Amino acid sequence: MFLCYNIILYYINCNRLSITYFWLNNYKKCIIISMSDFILNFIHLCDEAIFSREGKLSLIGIFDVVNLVNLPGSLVKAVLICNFTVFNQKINAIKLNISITKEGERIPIFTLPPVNINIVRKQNHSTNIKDGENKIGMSLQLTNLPFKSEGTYFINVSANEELLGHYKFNVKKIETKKQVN
Amino acid sequence: MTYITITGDYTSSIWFKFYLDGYSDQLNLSKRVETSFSPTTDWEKVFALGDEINKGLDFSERNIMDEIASYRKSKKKSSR
Repeated sequence: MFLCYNIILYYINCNRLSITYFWLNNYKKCIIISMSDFILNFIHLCDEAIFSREGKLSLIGIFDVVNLVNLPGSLVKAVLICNFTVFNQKINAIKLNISITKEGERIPIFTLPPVNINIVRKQNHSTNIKDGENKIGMSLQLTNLPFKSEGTYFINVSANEELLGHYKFNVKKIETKKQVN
Repeated sequence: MTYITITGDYTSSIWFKFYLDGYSDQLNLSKRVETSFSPTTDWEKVFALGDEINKGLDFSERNIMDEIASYRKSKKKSSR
């Protein structure tokens, strides 16, 4: 029982399981555990993302607050960086859905057209990488993101209709003092 | 949506760099401009060459300024 408990905790820590609770007719709590195909490694919103010739990624200006002079207004340019691990070896194509929602609202304020990725399996000889794991990174330039009001917003990233994660950020209006010459 | 794939010896991830359609042409254009100026360009040599060309054409900064001033004057006169 103790071993089983530890295994469950391990999987929960790894964030690979989606756990669903429901009540049976006889009021016994039941847990359904299903393995997830993806795990989010990191997600960032930044000013610029540069890849070097060796494939190293440099992120410049990571932010989670958008300051706008006028509202409604727009964020002129940002780069969304997302990295996730694919556990399911059978997956060869990934459909990424990216949307931006405001806290407390269901309807997205902005939905990007679906992004389709075809995975070409890479043979990793490094000992640090477990067999059966593939890490996928995504860099996406966002331009003119419209915001109608201040508040908390989320960038939701879904892979094959499975929510990978969301990036929380705030939109604020900058108060500019009027100067009389 | 167009994308390029980036892999390397220093990353275990396969990176996909997406470009929003309509922006790709603009990005390619800016890339072309960037590549014509290599970071290893010896600018001192470039400036020295420019000075040599100016000497050969008998141009100096003063000459160029005078030419611009005379051009402006002639343009003003013609508009009158």
